[in-house]
Amino acid sequence: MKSKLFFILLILILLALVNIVSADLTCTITSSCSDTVLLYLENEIGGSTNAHAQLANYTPTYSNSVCCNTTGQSISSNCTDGTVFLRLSDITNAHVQDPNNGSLPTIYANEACINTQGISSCTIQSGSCSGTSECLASIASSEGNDYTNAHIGECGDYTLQVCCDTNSPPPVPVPDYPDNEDYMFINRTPFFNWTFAGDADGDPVTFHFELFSDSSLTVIESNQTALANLNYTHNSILDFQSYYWKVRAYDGQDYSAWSATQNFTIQEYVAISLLNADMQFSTFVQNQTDDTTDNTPTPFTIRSFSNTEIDIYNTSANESLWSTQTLNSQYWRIKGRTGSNSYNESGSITSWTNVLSGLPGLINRLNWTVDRDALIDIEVTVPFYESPGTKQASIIFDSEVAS
Amino acid sequence: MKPSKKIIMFTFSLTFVLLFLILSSKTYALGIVPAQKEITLNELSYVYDIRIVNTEDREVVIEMSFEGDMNQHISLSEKNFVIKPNEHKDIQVLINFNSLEDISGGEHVTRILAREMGTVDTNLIAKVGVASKLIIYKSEEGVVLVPTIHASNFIKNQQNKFLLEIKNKGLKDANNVVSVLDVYSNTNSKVWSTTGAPVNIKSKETESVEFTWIPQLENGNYYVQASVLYGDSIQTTTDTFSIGSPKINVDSITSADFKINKINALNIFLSSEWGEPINNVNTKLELANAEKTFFETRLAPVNFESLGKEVVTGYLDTTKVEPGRYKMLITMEYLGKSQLDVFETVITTDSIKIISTSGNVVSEYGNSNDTKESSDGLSTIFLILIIVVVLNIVVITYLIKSKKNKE
Repeated sequence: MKSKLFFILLILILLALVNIVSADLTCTITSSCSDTVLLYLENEIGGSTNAHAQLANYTPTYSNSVCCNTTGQSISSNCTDGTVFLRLSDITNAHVQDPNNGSLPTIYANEACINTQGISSCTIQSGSCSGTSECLASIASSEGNDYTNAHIGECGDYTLQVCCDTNSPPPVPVPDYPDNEDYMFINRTPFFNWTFAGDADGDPVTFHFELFSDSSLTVIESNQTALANLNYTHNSILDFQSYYWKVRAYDGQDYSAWSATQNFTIQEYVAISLLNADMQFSTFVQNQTDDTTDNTPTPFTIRSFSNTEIDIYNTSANESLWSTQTLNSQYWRIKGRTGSNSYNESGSITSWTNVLSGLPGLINRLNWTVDRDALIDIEVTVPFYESPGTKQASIIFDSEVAS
Repeated sequence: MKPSKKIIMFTFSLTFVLLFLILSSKTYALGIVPAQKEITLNELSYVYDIRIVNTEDREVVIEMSFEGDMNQHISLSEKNFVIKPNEHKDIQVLINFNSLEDISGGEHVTRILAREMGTVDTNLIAKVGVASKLIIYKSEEGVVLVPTIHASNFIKNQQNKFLLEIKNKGLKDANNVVSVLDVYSNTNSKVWSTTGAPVNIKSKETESVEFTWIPQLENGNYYVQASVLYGDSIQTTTDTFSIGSPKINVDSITSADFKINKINALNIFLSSEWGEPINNVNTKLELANAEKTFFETRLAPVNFESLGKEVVTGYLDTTKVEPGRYKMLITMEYLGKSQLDVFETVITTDSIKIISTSGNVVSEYGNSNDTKESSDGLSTIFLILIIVVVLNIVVITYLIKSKKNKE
């Protein structure tokens, strides 16, 4: 008893698996079709074995039909864009032949078709339909060549079976990043990604990505097919404007629908950092001068994390370093270090200049891609009458988009 | 440049300590987006968001401020706030005008500046600021002209070009736009002026006007102002440029009474080709051959007037120098650049001959050749003198003999 139950359970599991892999198309030969008739058939006694065929649009109809349905898809026998699964010698009371065998002496003129999304081909196979194929009927001939001038029957009647490969189109990918309508996007070589639920048939899936620079989706910036991963990085630099993108999946047979079109707007972004915030000079005596040109102490390093060229348009100190000297004196000077190619030296201050409460134009056009560090040298000279003690001051580097 | 440890200890004990510290140990980065926003005025109020980005792993305290001529019309939803680590803060910018008539035509730039004012856990001294530029265009009869003049570095007596770009940010086309270009020296004297051909500029488009110029002026810094005239409005743009580049020439080198194995004064005569003062010119003098440097000294800094001439004196120690061929390297540092001039130099026991790379002798001093020439001259004079004396003796002897014979 237990072994019988186990066997039944196993059969049910196998049937469930078969249903999963054979996707949505289901066909039977029946005398009472409540779905879509693709072909009629009937023998002398009204049965469906060793029968003649009749096209689906012929009336009056035979009593039996190849009756099919698909879940979530329309299906018809319309041959426009449909797949031919048999050829008939006449529109009714007809023998049938393999539609794909071009070497037959006579090619029947009447086509029986299946028209639904996901049918890639229909073939005559010896033995059971395999894998994702669905059996519509079987055929056999008494004339020696079973592939033509044949009678038609149910799938289990004859060796040659009419098999149609079925495929479920992949589901629509779901865009994930950049966020839709992100109007403060700053990455000019964006990374795009999306999620994907997986192909129902288990087919390997690739993705088709499109990026446009106009909302009417006519000016294409990037058209990437056969992307294997759930992301794409656009390596050429985008402008400061709005962009639109969408993606669809392809399982080797069918495309999914396009995802909803996403948009984002790239804005100019200014961001700077002081890499070395410590600057400590050593012990001094009056009139002694020291500077950072020998890297002791280390000069200020301003690194741009911007997405465009920037200027350090204003450098300001809140007060003088020295109690005996005001700002704008030779006792505290500043300059941009030359030779790094990270900024436009001719438009910058590269010779010693007195620190002010507002010094314009210290660094002009600091790069944002490579070589994006500007080294700022400081020189200090102790005034002769300066009193001893620790000296402090603050200095501020203000940045903006390069003029 | 750096004092040795000994010197530091010495000064510590005898004088006093000045310990100079200007930054804390924290680094941080601030970002602002959009870093630029353009508005062409046609309403009395506008609202948009800006985002301040903190990319550091700590809280930052931000203070917002404005710079520009539209300050009184701009307000922010928040001006002081804290941003948590690796987060951002969106704030609203509100722009309000009572009447657009109060706003003058053209371009108005305001900076919305975000600065860190310190942190929760440190007393930060150095800071960075990031500014978002708000550019407001006020149209004249629907036209907003924004000119930008571009001037590269020019070359004297050659054809050079200014490029004037004029953007029409307005909603209407601008016809018959006239441009006037004025070039000024660094003393604000107008040195050249010209008028460009009229152009028509469609709404939201840009037109360029070229001005060709052959400058016949001294090398130096200048600035150009372009004025764009449309109807009753005048928009101006300026740019600085230079003709040529700062250059100091070594005209000649003199050394009186040059001798080997002593310290010889070398007077280096310099002249500036730059039409502006050049201050703090540092000169280094080296004597070297292919193998090594025999002597190196730094000369006192010198300042040049516009197109000025100066003399710097170096003291060449030849105690370790053998007679032979050398290179004299004169390195001058000024205005952030370094200029090297190399001279072939021939040294004998009592002479120095310095030849520029062009082959011109810039200096030839000493006794070796002169002595020979001089001795040759002396020999000739001495020979002539002997001949004259001999002739005189012969003549006198002849005359004496003749007199005796007569007697």
